[in-house]
Amino acid sequence: MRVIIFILMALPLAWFYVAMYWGFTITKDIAAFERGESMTLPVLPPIKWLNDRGALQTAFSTEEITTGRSVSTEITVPFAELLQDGEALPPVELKPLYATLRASAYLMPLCDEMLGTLALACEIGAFKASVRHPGDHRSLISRAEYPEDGLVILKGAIHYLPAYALGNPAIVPNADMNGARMRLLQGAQVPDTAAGRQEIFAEALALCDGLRDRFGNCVIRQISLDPGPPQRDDPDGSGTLRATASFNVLVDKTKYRRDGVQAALDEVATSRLAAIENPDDTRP
Amino acid sequence: MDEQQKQDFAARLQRIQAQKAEDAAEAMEAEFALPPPSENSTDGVQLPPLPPVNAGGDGSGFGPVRIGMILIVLLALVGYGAFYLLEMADDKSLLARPEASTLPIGEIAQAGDIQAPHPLLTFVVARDELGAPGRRIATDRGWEHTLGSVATPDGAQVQVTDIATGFDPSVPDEKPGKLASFAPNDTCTLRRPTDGDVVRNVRFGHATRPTQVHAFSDAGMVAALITHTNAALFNPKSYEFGLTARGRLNRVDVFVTDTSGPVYLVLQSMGGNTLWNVHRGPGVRIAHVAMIGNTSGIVVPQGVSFEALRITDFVTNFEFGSNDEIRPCMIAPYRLPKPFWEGQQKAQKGNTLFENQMYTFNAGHRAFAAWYQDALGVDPETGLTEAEGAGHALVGPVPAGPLGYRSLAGQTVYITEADHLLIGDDAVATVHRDLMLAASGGDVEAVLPPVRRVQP
Repeated sequence: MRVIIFILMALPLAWFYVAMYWGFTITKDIAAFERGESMTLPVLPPIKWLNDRGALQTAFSTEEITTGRSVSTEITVPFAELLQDGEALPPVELKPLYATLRASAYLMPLCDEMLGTLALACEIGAFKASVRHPGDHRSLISRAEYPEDGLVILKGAIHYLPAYALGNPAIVPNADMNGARMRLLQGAQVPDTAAGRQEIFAEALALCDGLRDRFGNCVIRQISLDPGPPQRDDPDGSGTLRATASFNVLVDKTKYRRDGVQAALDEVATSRLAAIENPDDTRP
Repeated sequence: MDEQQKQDFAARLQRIQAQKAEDAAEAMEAEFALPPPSENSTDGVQLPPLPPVNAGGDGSGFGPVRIGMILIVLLALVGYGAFYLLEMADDKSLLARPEASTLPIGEIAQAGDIQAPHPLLTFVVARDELGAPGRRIATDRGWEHTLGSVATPDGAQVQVTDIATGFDPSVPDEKPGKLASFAPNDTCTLRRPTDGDVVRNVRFGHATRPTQVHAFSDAGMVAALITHTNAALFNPKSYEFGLTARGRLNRVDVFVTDTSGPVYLVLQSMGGNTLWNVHRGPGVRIAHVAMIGNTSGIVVPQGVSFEALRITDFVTNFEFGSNDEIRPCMIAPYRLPKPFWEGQQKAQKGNTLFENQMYTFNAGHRAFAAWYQDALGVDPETGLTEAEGAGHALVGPVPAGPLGYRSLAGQTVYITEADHLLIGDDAVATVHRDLMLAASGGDVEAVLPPVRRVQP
């Protein structure tokens, strides 16, 4: 009995030494890595990697489309556009179902536009379609005159597999997932066209590149495309877009404060703006 | 303090320390001593006898309590590790989210089973489970009768076999012959009982026996189908997958045996849709039937007049306190709490939740009773058969000879109008499937396009 008790008590102690040694080897490996020595990365991940495993995988998986990376949008379409040629207008109660089941045709073009620099693959995530009619006061701000047959307001997200390099989050010691968020293009509006959206994607990618240069990794968690207010001088009536992006970076929490990534993002954006305004300035 | 006192004090301190050290040594030896205490004397001093080895918890030796605690801590550690392992495994399975093209849609199609419907066109028409038959169960709001147990005016326990012959509980929800819709009364005035009419009333929280009759609106169906679509596309394991509009009528067999005069029958159900299957005993005259509920259906002996009030046409707010006021058209049939209700007993013990609930029932009943008294000229507690839930109700005494039980098979059910009135669960699934096809433009595959990839 006493022997069993001794073994049971000794187990945690033994584990303590194993864990200590494990931590020691990881620290040693990372030091070697930072010195630029060639080495094989530790097989066992840092403890924090285990803790945040789910969140990390949805952010940094390079193999799968995950719900952790998305471009969200809001699209308005006159209900009549949803119908096929000669198709009868359904009763008002049925319209939300029609809008829901036909939403993909209006969301997939965004997915196609993302392919290339931003995404290797993409698919539709959760979406919600609602239908507004004239005299319908559920929405206080009406961005457009509601057509007689109703206006479909479609809010949805496209999930994607990044085409850009994410960096290597596996080598970050004392890793902590840290986020930052920013209005893209200094809050400016771009035309709600394919070219306008490419401009937004390019800005988000450039900011993420800046963060990756500093921290070794970065992922664009979300780009949110919001329709801007109507413009008086809107030549083709396409409307405008404003965009917000949020980024995730895995950082060493012993080196950076909680708001360190946000501060870095602000700096990256400022220096990028300066570079655009003074293209001759070659300072890094 | 002079020198002598200081020395005395120091000497005393030394003695105390020496004694302490000795005590500690003794305690330590005692703790690990297996041989009898007599062999463990120091300096010829006899040690006090050791406590029993299995004393546990008294600070000496490893008693079962202490060993148990150590084991619990170790088990917790092992469990913690196992939790992590499981979580990691789970993460993997979650991450391996199938691509759109390999969702069950594709799997079913590839299985070569042409008959299997597309997941977006797969529906489960919900049906409540029936409890063990022939029992009544005390609930917070009175008796809940399972199949075969009858709600009676005096609260006596009666089985349906005591009243009627030919009732077969093993035959579930026979299909009626046809449905005929009628418009509910759009004013809250009921036909007044004439002189000599005996007003009898049945008031249930809900009916318990499912039927094959369904009534639902387009709006209800659209809400269910949007929920179903989201589940089918993004969360096929969710209970919302296959959801249909809830509109099944539950049925109550009403056995009228009161021969004291022409019976003016008031049938009330607070929740759900109810199909009243009215049986008339020998010598019974039924003057009129008034129904109060949501969707109401009725099977009545030929020549009996009936009307229905839809609660939601007049009472729309069921928030706390909203139905306290006595007002016109307060037709929501609240029941008066009785001392045997478990909710009432809990309220009396000071449970605030049930105090509030019983307050609502009392106040709601007071307002309902005022309307009822005004509309029919009698107190709603007179001639009352009530229950929280039941599938059979007796109006009058237990008959001397049994009545012939009449099932729904082949009968005409008169039912308050709705966008969809259907017989059979298959018909419900078909209506939902047809709407899905129409609303998707005939191609449900296009609802969720496959993953797009950069072309190599």
